Amino acid sequence: MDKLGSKTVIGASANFTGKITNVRVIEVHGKVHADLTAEKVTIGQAGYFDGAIRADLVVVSGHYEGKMQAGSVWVTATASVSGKLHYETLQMDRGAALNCHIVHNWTVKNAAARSADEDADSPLPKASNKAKAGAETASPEEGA
Amino acid sequence: MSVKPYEKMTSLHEDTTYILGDLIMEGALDGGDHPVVIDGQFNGDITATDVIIREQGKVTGTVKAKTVVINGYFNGNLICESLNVAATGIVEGEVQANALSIDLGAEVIGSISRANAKSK
Repeated sequence: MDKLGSKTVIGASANFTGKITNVRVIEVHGKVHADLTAEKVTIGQAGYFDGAIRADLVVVSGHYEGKMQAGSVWVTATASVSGKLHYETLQMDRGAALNCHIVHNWTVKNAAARSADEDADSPLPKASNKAKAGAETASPEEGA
Repeated sequence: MSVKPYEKMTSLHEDTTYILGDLIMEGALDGGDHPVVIDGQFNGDITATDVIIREQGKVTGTVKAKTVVINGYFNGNLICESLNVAATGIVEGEVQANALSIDLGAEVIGSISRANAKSK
């Protein structure tokens, strides 16, 4: 039992409608109609989730419907997703059914953070950025 | 088909509903044929076979179940076949139960009556 920690599980035969707040890790094997913000959300093979999700990591093996905003999304072979999916990184297994609107990097903040990461990771864009920056700073001087 | 990591992950505790940690749930929960364990906060209606409110659990609302064990806090309307209020349990409100046990140290405030036939 203690192994579970603070993980919340909605059991296979359970049906929940309402509001869930202050949740960190949640697993859904039953039916849930709710909006939630969490660190990690897992929708099991028999799971059905209807509502908005905001999370760092979402693993979908069951059915999802709604607007999802997640850092990492893993859509496994048995999944079906409809609605809207905003993600930073997405993995989709062969067999998964996506019938949804998919957007990469949904917020300005995340988009900025991501481009900064890319600059740090790969030297090439960084060099070109520097060159651009150099060109930009150089041109006013030329003008003056 | 080989067992993938996520299948292992989802095969644990699939049937029982656990509401754990600091979370707050509001609404209606039907646990179906499986137990519901609450160690967080729940406001609303619960229907299930077994309901266990653990020490950190707080439930406000209506609970209909066969067996109920309360180690935490309950406030509202409780209809069940058998109820056990453990030593750390606090119950406020209206209780309908056919079999009732209250441990030494438990707090029960409100009315207690026998459940009628319509209880699950």
